[in-house]
Amino acid sequence: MYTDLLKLCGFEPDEIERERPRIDKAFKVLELDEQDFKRGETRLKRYLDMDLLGVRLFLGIWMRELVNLVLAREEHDKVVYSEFPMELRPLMSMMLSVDEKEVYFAVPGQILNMTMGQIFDKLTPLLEVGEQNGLPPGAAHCALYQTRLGAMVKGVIPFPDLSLMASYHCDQPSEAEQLLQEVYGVPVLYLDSCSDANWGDWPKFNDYRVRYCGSQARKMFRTFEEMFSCQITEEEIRATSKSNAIYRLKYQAMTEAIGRADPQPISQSSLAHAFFLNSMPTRDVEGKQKALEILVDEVMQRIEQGKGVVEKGAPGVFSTATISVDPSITRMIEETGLAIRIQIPYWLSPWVLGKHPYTDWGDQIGVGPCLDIPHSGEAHVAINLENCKAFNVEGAINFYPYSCREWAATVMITKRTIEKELGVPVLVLEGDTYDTRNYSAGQLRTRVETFAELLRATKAAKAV
Amino acid sequence: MITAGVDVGAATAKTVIVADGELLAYAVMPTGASVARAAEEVTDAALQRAGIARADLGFVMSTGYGRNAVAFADKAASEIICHAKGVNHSVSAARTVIDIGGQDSKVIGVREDGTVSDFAMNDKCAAGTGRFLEVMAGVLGLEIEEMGPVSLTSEDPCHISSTCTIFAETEMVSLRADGRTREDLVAGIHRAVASRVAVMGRTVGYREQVVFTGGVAKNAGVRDSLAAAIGLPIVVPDEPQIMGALGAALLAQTEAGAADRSDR
Repeated sequence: MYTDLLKLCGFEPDEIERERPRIDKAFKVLELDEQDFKRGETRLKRYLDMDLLGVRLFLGIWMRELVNLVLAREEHDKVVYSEFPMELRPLMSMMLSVDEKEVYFAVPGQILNMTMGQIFDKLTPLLEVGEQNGLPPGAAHCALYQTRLGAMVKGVIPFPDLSLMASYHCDQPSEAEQLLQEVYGVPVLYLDSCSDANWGDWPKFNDYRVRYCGSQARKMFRTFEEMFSCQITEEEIRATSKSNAIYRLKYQAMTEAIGRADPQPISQSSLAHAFFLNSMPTRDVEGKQKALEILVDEVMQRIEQGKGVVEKGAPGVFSTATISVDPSITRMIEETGLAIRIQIPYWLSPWVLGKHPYTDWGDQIGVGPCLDIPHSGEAHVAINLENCKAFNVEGAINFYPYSCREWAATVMITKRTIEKELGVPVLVLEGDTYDTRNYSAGQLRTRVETFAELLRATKAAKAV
Repeated sequence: MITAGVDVGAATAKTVIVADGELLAYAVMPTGASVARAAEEVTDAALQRAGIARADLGFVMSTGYGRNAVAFADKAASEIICHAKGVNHSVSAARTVIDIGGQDSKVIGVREDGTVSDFAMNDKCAAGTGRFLEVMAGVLGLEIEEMGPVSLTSEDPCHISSTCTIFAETEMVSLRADGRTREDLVAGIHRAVASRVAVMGRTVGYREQVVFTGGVAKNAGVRDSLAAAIGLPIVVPDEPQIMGALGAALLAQTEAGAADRSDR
């Protein structure tokens, strides 16, 4: 039933046969049937660059993680979850310090988004259960956490033995985890931070903020070590830092090359599965590095050959319409004839890779949220502006995620700033990052088509 | 060259037939349940009025929410672009278009050549649309066509504080209970719609000549309230509902011309 779909996702036939009992069991729990597999195939072929092996290998990693996630309770003694905005490095160093067979690590919401959302378009039933069990609709709760809670309550994925959560960047994770702790009895460790930066602070980072966040990371590591009778060694920290840096730098170079290429060589929707592995603690580090190397080679080849998914000379835009659960909007933007030069947050802005004086592992973890987008509202505006400048775009599409309190706050300031500073038009698109019920593709298409026409007319007028 | 523009909106479908840049015939009918069927039927009606056959059409451009379901169209364009073009043809001095249709409202900045300079559109809310007026007419037991004339006789328009369709309905019930007249209620509703749209369009800016289009433009009460809200006079074309279809038919002329040239 699902063989063709899994082959499309880079599975080899012998792996499908070997894993069939596990896959059967997991897909049954997920209530996936023939119709879903067909829909999945259609969506992948419709929206992603499926002729690229790298794209297919990344899909395979997420599909394997979906099966692992559903079967985690019966295959492991302990289950540990985390979620955005927790970054990968602390998670990975903790994951490497415990036995693979004993403890399963995952960011379940993101796994469900990348598979049940992106591939099967079947997240809503999970969201609805989340809404009925503690995160009700109409209260601007983040759908990422509604999905995750719904999947646990519905019995699709197990409740964890521990949740590791960061409270910087957004208030929703800690709010949702408090519910998980108080109602469902799941212990939670928080990576707390002090996020009240002043306007004018960016791009400097405040030593107090870094050290405070670092102290919280150390506290979290200590408690984790006590709970799991393990030790996060230098070796694990080095392995984490190395693999993280290699992946990020390679990914960064690829997205920059895509942003400067004409025609646009690959759909930005095809990058989602690679990008979101930046926050998913998979044990398949080798598989993920290999998939990226292949993808980079394939993209570079397309650039050299002048192959593109958008017409050469198309107006270039910066876009923040990164809908984790749905590739269709990004693809629709490209289909209107706009080249998405860069799609935040796919480009890891240089500031996140900046040099700093911190040597302690905890402090190094503290640097992340104090440099990039999580720094402040000011950082949102400035980084979006810098993205537009760096890729010399002719317009910007700024997404207004309906239920994202953190991102929505700066949408209009960003629009005004880009329009004023660069003199290029900015289209604001209302929608949601994690819930397809919050936007209408028809209405968004009308706006994007008109915007594309505007940009083409401006470009043509400049050319005369 | 004879071309057609087919605008399939949420409430009505419109087809305009143009011959060498001049309006030949048009038809308007409710969209109903089937977008494809509405497009077929309204186009057949327009063709009949023009006294020509489908085969006589050199190019068909579709627009509106149902634009991609018009199987016989050669190309589709967004209704914002088409409205700007249609209005530019009818009122050449137009620099701002306010379009209020069944399910959305738009403010469009128009250049001298009929292209779009900027636009704003309502989001996920029915406030400031024809649907809002329909619901309110239902609450007051009026036909939608009666609302304009009724509101013009109001001496003390009500203040409707909510622009949400559902909450405004509740507010309406409560104002009626307070003994407010039907005329004042309707005038208050028009002010609420006008205020909502006027604020939405501020990002585009209002420049004369301001032209009001869409089915709601037939309502003189909304027109007057809008003019008061933006502080500028407003012009309503003779057939405000067909501006999108007219623009599509004119764009079809350009497309057909381009196709002709490339064939040579």
